[in-house]
Amino acid sequence: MSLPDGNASEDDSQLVASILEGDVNAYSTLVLRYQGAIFNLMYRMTDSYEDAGDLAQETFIKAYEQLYRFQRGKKFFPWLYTIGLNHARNFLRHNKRIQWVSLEDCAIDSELDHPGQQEENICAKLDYAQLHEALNQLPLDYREALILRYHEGLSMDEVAEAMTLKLSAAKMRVHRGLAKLRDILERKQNGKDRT
Amino acid sequence: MEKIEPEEPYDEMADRIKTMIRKMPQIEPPVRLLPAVMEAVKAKSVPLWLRAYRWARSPRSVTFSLLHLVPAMALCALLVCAALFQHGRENRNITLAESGESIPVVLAVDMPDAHSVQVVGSFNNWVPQPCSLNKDNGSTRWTVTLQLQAGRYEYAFLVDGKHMPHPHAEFYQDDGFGNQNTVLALGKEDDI
Repeated sequence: MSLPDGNASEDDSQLVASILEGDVNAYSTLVLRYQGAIFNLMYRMTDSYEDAGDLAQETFIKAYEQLYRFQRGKKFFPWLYTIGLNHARNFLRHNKRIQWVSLEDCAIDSELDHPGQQEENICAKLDYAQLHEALNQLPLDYREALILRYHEGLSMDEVAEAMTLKLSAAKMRVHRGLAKLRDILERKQNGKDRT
Repeated sequence: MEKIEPEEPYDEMADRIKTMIRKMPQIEPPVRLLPAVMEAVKAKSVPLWLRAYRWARSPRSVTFSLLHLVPAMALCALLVCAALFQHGRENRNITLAESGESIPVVLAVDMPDAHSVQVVGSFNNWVPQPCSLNKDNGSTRWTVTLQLQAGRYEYAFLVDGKHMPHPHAEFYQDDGFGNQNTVLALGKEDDI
């Protein structure tokens, strides 16, 4: 996981309180703590190192300006991630680079619990390059739900909060995202095996 | 972060995908990201009113000690004195008696059998002032016209030399010598 463990969220709240009381330097701890996650989010969205750096910087500045709206008792990272997601969506929309893949169009052809000999082959051959490529083929909401849940290690409640969804909708995104990802990987593997 | 609990029955493929996502390598953010952010936010420090608002809303404990209490009480006493002084000044300022405005007052009493009627009061330092006799439409009235400023006065008639309060007055006051004087109030009720 890229995010810090332990009492980070409690510490985040204390840092936010310090910043609001005038300690601007306390913000550097939050930036250091979450710059990796936010930068990689932007990189996945833009596929550009330069754009990702700019968008990550703008996200942190935007979050700082909105810090007084941050509710005490909430976790900082999902709140920050929401700002980042919205900022990235606006950027892509403005630059006509967004790929609107309807969630309905992205029908799930396979389910996670279906058996088959193919699975063993896929498990053996799966590598990060394939995974990265498959993730990029997922609709944005499915992909980010999976990243938040399994890479950043957020709870379902936090995933829902970060993506401004209801809990049931967040669970569905994760479940269907996983099923779709698996479907894409299987198809890729089958195609390679045929060739 | 909390431990991820499996949401599906054990599935090797799904489990492997989840593990790979968890361990997926990340791209290092640019080194200039942190200094660029901090440089920008330092130019946008939190406004003073916002800090004051947050401070006012945050809970805090208050402790009292004698050293704190004495100056606080002294300050309270000073404020009370200042308020009383101001109150006194305001009252004095609105007293019509000091405004110099005269109010014409006619004192009249029906004494058909009297030979002489005089009036004494606080307005003439209890020096007898004669009343004039008026006979109109069969009535015999002794009257005197005074120019008085607003305020509270006491007076009485001397009918043939005998002390007598105004017979139809509403308010009387003992003079301390066994006699009663009539009380005359002129001006606003609050000023008297």
